[in-house]
Amino acid sequence: MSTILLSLVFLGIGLAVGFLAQRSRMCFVAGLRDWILVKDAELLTGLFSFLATVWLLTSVFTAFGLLHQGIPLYRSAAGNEPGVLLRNVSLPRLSSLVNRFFFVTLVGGFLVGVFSVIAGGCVMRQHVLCAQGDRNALFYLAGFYGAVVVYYALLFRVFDWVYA
Amino acid sequence: MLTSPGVLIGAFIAARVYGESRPRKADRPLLLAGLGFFVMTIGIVIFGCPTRIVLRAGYGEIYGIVALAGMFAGIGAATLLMRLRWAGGNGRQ
Repeated sequence: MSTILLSLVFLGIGLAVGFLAQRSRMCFVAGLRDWILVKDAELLTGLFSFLATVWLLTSVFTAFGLLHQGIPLYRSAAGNEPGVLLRNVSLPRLSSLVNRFFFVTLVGGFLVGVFSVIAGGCVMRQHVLCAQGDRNALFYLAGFYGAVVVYYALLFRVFDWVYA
Repeated sequence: MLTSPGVLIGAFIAARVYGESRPRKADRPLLLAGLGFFVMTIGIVIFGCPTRIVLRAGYGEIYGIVALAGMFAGIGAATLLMRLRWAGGNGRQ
């Protein structure tokens, strides 16, 4: 029962996010891209206000003890205590942070940036474009969700070395 | 996990309400499907599509910030490359 309720809550959140994303043309990739290309800082402002809001709200919720769900523990990835920068947690040693996962994260983030710019928008923007009737975005999403199946059927063994 | 259908439906409603429905034919479907495939694969490996990377960075998680830095670098590199190619194309015409 609570699973159904939670799913409905997620659906409601998704509805609100989709509505707002369509109205504001919000995109996490186009912000920096537009700023570099045509010095249009509108979407970049959105990105940074998103970042600031997350920072503020997680801090406030943690301070009042409302945020019980921590970041899921990644296998053998050190230094991922939730909110290391905000709370009075002693910082982990830098050498323990720079592991294999660190470099994979850096390179992976780089590749996500490159691919998203080529595709013309971040994942959320592709959802919105698809809802607006863009067939390109439809194919993007097909590949996107097809990758989940392929990953958990075949590729998860290939990427095991990342977490070793 | 009904958030992504929710985003689709919400954006659909918004597009309908404000008359911003913009049908567009698929001119390069295979390229985009491949891009989606790679983004999702990387997203599973490093725990985050762009949205979640920003969320994790805002949460103050070290690897989220690292991924955000990498993503900014990737966006910058790809954008500059794109501009170079545009400039080259204009020069040839």
